[in-house]
Amino acid sequence: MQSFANALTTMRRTPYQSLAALLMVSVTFFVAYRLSFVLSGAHIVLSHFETSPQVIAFFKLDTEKQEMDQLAQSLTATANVSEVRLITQEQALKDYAKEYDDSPLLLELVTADVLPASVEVSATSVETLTKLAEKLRTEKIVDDVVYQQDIVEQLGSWTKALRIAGLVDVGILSFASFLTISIIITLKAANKKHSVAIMRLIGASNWYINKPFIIEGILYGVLGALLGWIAITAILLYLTPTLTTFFSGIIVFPLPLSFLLLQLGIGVLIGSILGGFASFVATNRFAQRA
Amino acid sequence: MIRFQDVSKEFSPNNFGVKQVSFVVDPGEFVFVTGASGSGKTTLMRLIIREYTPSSGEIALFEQKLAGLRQREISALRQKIGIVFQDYKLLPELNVWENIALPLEIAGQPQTEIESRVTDLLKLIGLIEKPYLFPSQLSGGEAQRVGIARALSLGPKLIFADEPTGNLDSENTQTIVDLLRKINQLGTTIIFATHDLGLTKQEQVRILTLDGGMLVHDSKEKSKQTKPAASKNIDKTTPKKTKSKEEEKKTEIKKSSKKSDKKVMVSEESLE
Repeated sequence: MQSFANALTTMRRTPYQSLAALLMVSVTFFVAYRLSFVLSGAHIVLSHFETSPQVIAFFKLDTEKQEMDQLAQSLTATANVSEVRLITQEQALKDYAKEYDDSPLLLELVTADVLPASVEVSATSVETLTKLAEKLRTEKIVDDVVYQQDIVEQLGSWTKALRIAGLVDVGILSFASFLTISIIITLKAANKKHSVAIMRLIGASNWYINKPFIIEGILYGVLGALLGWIAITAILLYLTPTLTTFFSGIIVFPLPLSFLLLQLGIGVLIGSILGGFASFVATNRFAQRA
Repeated sequence: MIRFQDVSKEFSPNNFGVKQVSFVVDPGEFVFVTGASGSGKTTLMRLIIREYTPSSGEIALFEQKLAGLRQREISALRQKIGIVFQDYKLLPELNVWENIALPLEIAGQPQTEIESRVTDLLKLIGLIEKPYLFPSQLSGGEAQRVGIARALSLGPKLIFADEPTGNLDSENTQTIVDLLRKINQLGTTIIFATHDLGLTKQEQVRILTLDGGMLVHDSKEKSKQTKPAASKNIDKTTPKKTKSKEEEKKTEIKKSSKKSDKKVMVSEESLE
C-alpha cells in the first residue's frame, strides 16, 4: 500500500513525464481496441456471407414447377449442402413487394410473370459451392447463376490484410509504449539515485527499492488501457446509429456490454503486463548501472 | 562482534584503502577510529557494511564471515548495523518522521510499532516537536540527530558513525558525542570515526589510529602491553577506573535495557 502511494506521489510530482507515458499507452490501446472491433466485425460479416444463401440459380420463365422441384430434390441429396430453398414466382413477387412497399408505382408495373423463380443453396464448404455452381450452370432450365464465392474470398483476403496491418501497427505502438515507460521509469530512478543509494546503505533490498517503480509502470499500463477503452467506447456509442444502418441485419448494435467489459479486462491485463515488464527492465538496467 | 584479520583493500595497484588491518571489537565497546583524511576510516566503514569487499584478509561481523554473502544477506546485515554519516544522508523528499521510520518500513515492521518507535526516538533526540520538517529545514545538528535516530530505529547492536561531527560546530559536536555515549551505555557498540583528536582526548575510550590505510595504534593493545596483569574482563571493555555511583547506575540501566526487546527505545527520561 505504501509503495502504491509512493508510485502515485511520484506520478503527481512529475506530471509531464507521467502524461507522456499515459498518452502513449492510451493511444496504443485505442488502436488495439479499434483493431479488435474491426476484426470482430469483419468476422461477423464474413460469417454472415458464408452462412447466407451462397448460390442462387434463377430459372427460365417457362420452367415447370415439377422440374424445379426435381432439381431442388437432387440438390438436397448432394453432400455438404446445408439448405435448399425454392422460391416460386409468387414468392418472388411477395419478396419484391415487401422490399418496395414504399414505392407503389414500382409495384404496379411488376407482376409474378416477369419475376423468375429461383433456388437458393447453402453449403458447409466453399468447394461444394463451386461444384454446385458449375452443375447448375449446365442445367437447361437455369437461366443465370449468382455465386457469392468471389465476395467471400475478397472479404476474407481484406480481413487477413487488415489483421496483419493492424497487428503490425499495434506491435509497433506496443514497443513504443514499452520504450516510453522504460525510459521514463529509468529517468525517475536516476532522479532518485541519491535516495536509492542511501536506502541500499541502510539495508533496503532490491525489491523494496524497485517496487514503487514497478507499480508505477503497472499503473501506466492499466490507466492507459482504461483511457483507451473509454475513448473507443465513447466513439463507438457516438457512431452506433450510423453503424446500425450500415450493418443492418448483419451486426446488432449497440454491442453487448459483456463484450466491451471482456475487452477492457483483457486490455487491463495486457497493460499491467506491458507496464510491469517495461519498468522491471528499466529498474534492472538502472541497478546494473548504479 | 567485529573481527578484522589482515584485511586489505586495494583499489588499484599500490593504492590501498586499508592495508593489513587486524583488530577485534567486543560487544558494548566505544571505539574511536582516528586518522587524517584519506587514512582509511570510511573504507573501514564500507568494508564493515559490505559495500566493499576486501582484496585480502577476512572480516567477521556478529560471528558471521562477510565473504560470500548474497545480496539478500547483505541487506539483512545492514539492517543490523546503524550507520551515521558525516553528510547525514537523509532522504530530502521525506520529512523527519519518515526518515526515521524508513529502516523500520524496510524491515517490514507493523505500523503501530513504527509509530511507537519513531515517537520514542524523536523524544530521545529532542525533536518531538519537529516531526514534519524536511531535512532542508533543519540545522546541521538537528539533521545529524535525525541521522542518529534513523541509525537507532531498528535497535542495532552496532553503530558506525563516520565523521558524524565533521560538519558541526563545537556545541552540536558535544551534543552528538553525548548522545552516542548514552546509546553506548545502553549496550550498543559504537565505532566513531573522526579526525578530530580533541574528541578522543575527552573520552576514556579505545582508540584505533589509522595512517595511510594501516592501523598504527590500538590503545587496547597498548593497554594490554602496559598492564599485563589486568583481568581479561577489564581489557574487553573500555578502560575503567573504580566505578563511581553514577557509573553503577548507568550499568544498571544498561543491564535492564538489555533484558528489554526495545532496549534502544527507552524514553529520554530514563536516559537522564
